[in-house]
Amino acid sequence: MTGEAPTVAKCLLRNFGCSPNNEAIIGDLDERYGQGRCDSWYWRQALLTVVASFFVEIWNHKLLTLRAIGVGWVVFVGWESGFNLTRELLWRYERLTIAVQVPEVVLFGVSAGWVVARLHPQSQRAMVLAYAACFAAVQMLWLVSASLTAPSGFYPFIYAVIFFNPFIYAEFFLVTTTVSILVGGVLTTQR
Amino acid sequence: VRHVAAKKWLRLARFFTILEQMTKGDHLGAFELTVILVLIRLGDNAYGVPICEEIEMRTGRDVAIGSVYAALERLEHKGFVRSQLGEPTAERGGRAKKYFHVTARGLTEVRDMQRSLVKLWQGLPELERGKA
Repeated sequence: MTGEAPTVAKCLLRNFGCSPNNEAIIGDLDERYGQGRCDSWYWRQALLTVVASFFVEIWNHKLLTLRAIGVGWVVFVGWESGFNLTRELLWRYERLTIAVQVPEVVLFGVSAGWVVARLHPQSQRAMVLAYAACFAAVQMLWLVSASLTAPSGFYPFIYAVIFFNPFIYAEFFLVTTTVSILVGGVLTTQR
Repeated sequence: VRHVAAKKWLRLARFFTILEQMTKGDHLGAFELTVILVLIRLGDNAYGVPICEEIEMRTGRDVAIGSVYAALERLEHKGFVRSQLGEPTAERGGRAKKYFHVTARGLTEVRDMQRSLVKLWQGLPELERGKA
């Protein structure tokens, strides 16, 4: 055990803990950690707290959660026309398309996280997490279904997901967008 | 026109809040009962750390601090518990403690539950001492 609690776990808890008593929880965890608990105990407590507080918040605000997810998808639909325009204009130049779409994807994610957090001040972190989770789940479902019906059907599924070009792009899109949504939400909640 | 539209949206947001509050019950769950009994036991020194330690000592099981706070928040929402911020300390990274106290309504609810459980307990030979 070291003197300081694990920084990443603490950062995770500070930014994604959804409980209205988040500060008191961090204080309690620090106090118990100082009494001789190990790093794995702190990690377990931090993760359980984030997950428990997230589910409590979305259970307590079911309709607001639906609204937050809806708002996030509306932002996505707004940006999608921009993505399509980039693809139509630059379809000949694959690298340039990717170079333009990466900032586009990041901007979409950050703005979606920001809008969702701003419109749900009662429970900002939980709503941003709910939208990010929903977005990631929908994209993953699309990825799985697309890979099963892809022209490279004779490849094993994992091979197709790892090496088939459109899937690498889709995976990159999925991870970058989800992280950007979370960053947008965190930026709003810290202000 | 914009003002009227904004008012409409605000009314809609309130409608969501009212709908949510309609679905909430006022009963004590098993873990909530454990937490409220520990709060009564601890008296004035009931904040996160001693609450968890007391539950662990009495039940012999590890508890996640997140689930304890989730129960405390539910109890507070139901009006069985009230909270107040205490003093920040260095060992907590300068963060304040949050103390919890059982309200009169909470005590009444626990007494009612105790009475109901004792009545349910009586006359059950399967649960008598010494039987598996």
